[in-house]
Order: sequence, then C-alpha cells, then structure tokens
Amino acid sequence: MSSEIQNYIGEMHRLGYADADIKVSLREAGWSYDQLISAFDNAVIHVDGLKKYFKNTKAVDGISFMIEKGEIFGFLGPNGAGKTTAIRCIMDFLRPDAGQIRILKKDSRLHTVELKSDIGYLPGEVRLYENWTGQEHVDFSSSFYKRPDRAKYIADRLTLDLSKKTKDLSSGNKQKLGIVLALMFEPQVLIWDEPTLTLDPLLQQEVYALLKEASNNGATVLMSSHNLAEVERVCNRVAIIKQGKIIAIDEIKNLRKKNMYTITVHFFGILPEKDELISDGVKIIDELERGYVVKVSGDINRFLKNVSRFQVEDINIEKASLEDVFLEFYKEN
Amino acid sequence: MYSIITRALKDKKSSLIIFCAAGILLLVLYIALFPSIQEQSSQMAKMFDSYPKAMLKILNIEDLNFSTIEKFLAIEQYSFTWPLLIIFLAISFSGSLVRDIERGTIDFVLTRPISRMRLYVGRVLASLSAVLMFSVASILSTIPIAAIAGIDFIAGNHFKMVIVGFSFGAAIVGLASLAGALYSERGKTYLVTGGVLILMYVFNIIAKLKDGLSGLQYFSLFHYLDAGSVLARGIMSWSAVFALLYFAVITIIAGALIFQKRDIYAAA
Repeated sequence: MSSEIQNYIGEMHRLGYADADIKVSLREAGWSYDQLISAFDNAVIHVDGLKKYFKNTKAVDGISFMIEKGEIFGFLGPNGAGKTTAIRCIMDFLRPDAGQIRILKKDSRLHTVELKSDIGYLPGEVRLYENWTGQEHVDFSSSFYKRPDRAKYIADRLTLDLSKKTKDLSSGNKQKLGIVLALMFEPQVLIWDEPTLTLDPLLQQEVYALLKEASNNGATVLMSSHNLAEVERVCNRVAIIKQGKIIAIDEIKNLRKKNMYTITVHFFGILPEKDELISDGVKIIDELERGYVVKVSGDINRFLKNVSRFQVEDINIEKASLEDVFLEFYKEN
Repeated sequence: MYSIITRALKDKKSSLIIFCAAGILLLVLYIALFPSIQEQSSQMAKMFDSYPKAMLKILNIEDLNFSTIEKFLAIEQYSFTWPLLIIFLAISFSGSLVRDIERGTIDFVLTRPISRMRLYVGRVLASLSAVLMFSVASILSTIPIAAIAGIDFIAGNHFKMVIVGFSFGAAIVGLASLAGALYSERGKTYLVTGGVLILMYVFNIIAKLKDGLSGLQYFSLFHYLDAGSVLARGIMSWSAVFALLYFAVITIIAGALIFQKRDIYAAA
C-alpha cells in the first residue's frame, strides 16, 4: 500500500472513522473492490474500532490502526494512556467491549492458539516462574511448538546464562530471558509492550538491533513506549494515544517535518504588545525583559513579517524536536 | 496438556510429599496407639455413652467404638484431621491458576500456543492427580502399617474409603477451581472457598441436630464423606460418590466457562 493511502486511512482512523466508513468513502472516490481488499486485508495487524472499558473508565475508546508486513509501528503515549490495555486486548488477555482485531488475517480471539505460534510477546516487566531456570522456561515453551528453536543462539548473543533460576537473575537478565522467549521461534509478529523499561542503555541498543533485524527479516512489530526518542529511533510509523483515543497516526519522517519553531526575539526601543505578534499558529510562551519566547506552528514567514515591523535586536530560531511536536499534539488534543 | 499437568505437579512436588507424609505419619501414630486403646475398648465405649448425643452425632460416631482399627480410624483420623488435610491440599493445588494471575506469570503461559481451556483443564487434572495420590497414600498405607504392627484389618473397606475420599477431594478441587476462575487474588479465592466449606460444615451439623432441618445435609459435602459407614461397616454409598463427583464436574465446568470469558489482569 502506498504511504499516501496509508496516511489517508491513518488520518481517517485518527478522526474516529471505522473501516466500514472509510471503505464507503474510498468506494465513492472510485476505488475498485480489489483495491479496497488490498488496502485493508493485507495488514498484518488490523485493529478496528477497539473499545475496552473498566466500569466508568474508558481505557481504550474506539481505536483503529493497521500495520503492514515488515513495519515497526510505535504506540506512543504516557502511562495510563491505554497502550497496555490495547496490547492486552490484541493478545487476547482482555476481552474487548467492541471492535475487531485481526492478526495475519485471522480473528485474534477465534484463532488465538494458532496465532500465538506466530506472535512473540514481551511485556515491559517480564513475570516468570521464580523457581524455574531459564532453560526450564525454554523447554516448557518448546513443548507447545512443532519447530526447532533458536533460544541458545539468542541467549548466547545476549550473554544470558539459561541454567540459572529466575529468582537469581537481575531485572535486566530477566528481561533478556523474556526476549529469548519472545524471539526463540522466529515469530512473524512481535508485540512488545515497553520492552526497554527496565533495561540499561547498552541492552536497549541490543533490543533495538534485534527489532530492526527481525523487521528486516519480514517480521511485523508493534511496540509501545512512552519514550519518544526510542520510537523516533526504531519505528517507521507511530500512533500517538491519549486517554484511550488515537490522536495522531503518521510516519516518523512526516512527524519530523511538522514545522514547529521556538523563537526567542529581543527588541530595541518599544516592546510590541503581545497582540501585535500573535496570529494563527503563534503562541507566546514566555515574556522576557526586552522580548518574547514564541512558539510558531506551520508557516514561519508570517510571524517573521510581523516581527520585521519592529526593531529587532536579536532573534534565535530553533526547530522543534519531535518531542515538542509530540507534546504539542498532546496539548492540542 | 501433558506438559501443563506434569509441570504443575513438579512445581508442587514438595508440598504434595509433605501432605502425603503428614497423612501417613498420622496413620502410624494412630495405628501405634490402637492396641492400647483396643484393650480399653469397653471403658472407652462407656465414656462415649456419657458424651452428649448431639456431640456424637456431629462427629458422626454415634454407633462406633474402638473394637477394630477401621472404627478407630473412622473416629480419630477421618472425622476431622484427614478431611482438613485433603481440603488444604486441594485448595493449595487449585490455587495455582489464580497464583499465576496474581503474579503475572500467566502472561508467559498464555503467550504460548495454548488455549485458556486447555490450561484450565490441565491445572484441574493436576489438582485431581494430587488428590488421588494423597488419597491412595494416606488411606491405603493403613494396610502395610497395620500388617507390620500385627493388627487385623479389612482391606476392602480401605479401598472403598479411597474412592469416597478422592471424590470428596475432587469436589473441593471443583469448588476451589471455580473460585479461582472468578477472582484475580488468592486471598479472595481462599476466603470464598473456605467460607463456602465452613457454611457446608455448619449445614451438616444443623441438619444432624434439628430434625426439621435435616434436608440441609444434602447441601453439604461433609454429609457425603461418611467414613463411619465406609470404613467401620464396609458400606459405600454410590449415590454419595456420584453426588460428590457431580458437584466436582459442575463446578469445574462452571469455572472453565468463566475462565474462558474473563479478563486476565496481571497484578500490579
């Protein structure tokens, strides 16, 4: 699917449209049935209108997204945004109140056992049996699969001793064991929920490398994180989630392109009134003795034109980081 | 399924051995005491006669005395200590699923290609296997221990007791598994299971004490564990066995259906 179509569908999902509505709009736009099939049914992970409520809390409130083969898709949001709930629904641990989840073109609930053979799941804090060794975890897992595993290769690569009991492992080593268990059968789909939460920076790099390697080998990755730098570094596309709703879905490169600037400007003589500088997309975020700190979203020229009417002593323009873009999304929504 | 059962049994191997050893040691103790008690059987019978009738009814030992090892064990071992041991064993084993949910280890199991139903059934079968092993070890050990001590025994009655004892344990497994399927914390599960069993025990006592409320006994699992009839008189009621097994099957199925539908929360 072209990235334009992907972005269009992503934008419709962000606006809360379910797949059925998007298909109608695409049909009206002249799309053929075959094109629709290829746009919607080829997704490896397809979440459509997922809702999960806990009593009065709308933990996940109608989210939709699609992830294509080989993509590393980031699920970004602060703690409590609904990332883990959505992932636990995808993993069939939680029963959704509404919506459909399809993985590898199969309903995630009806074909849960079959799908688990092809999914490598890793939570942020791996919980394992304290009295089992790493090897016992591996052997237990192997008893459910009919194919050889790569546990030893991955454990060696991560320098993990599988003969130790889990209770004797540090939190980092427990996470390494979790990674071994998630990757040992070369799954087609990786669903990792804040995988680097308890890891030191060195091991984080190893995790990123493993994810990229899996993606290069054709695996599809859904990775949640509240760490923007991590998502920026690893993912191709990202969905930003807030209070159970997706507020943006876009490619990382597009997010980076969102023009946002922090401008510090000092004036000679009379300080302009705030109103004289404010226009669409311009916000004054700090007032200095002889100037202002201004946040500009979108076209910068209008603001510069406006400022040029006054005597400028000094001006410093900084392009916003992806983090600023992310925070802006959060404030706006 | 096989690996679920063997793994569950392996994980609780030590506690199973301890429970079995406790059951056997109690048997050794009672059998060692029996010859001296038997010598004073007639005095003991008189002593029982002086007990309030209601108390004898509650302990289900109205017509019993200490003339045979079976009667003695029915009073000493199977009226209180043995049911307590099997209740603790069954609840402990059946709590493995809720323990996994509470500790979050269930995520590891359920991310393997195994259905919830297979996991649930596997764990129940492991609990039933443990109950069976305990029943066999703690009841049938009477035969070699009594033989070594030179005490006469009726082997058939002990085999019948294994059937009734296992059925009682299976019913407890069913009840505890149902409670385990409902909650995510062990504390609640044990509280509910224990509460229901205490209620059943009270029902059984009230039914024996008040003629007008005798129907309550049918709602108590303890009513069907009639060691006095089985061991001392060699009469095993198949309807009691079926009632216990029926209760076990119904609760196990209900638990499976609930576990299949529920949300799995890893404990915070």
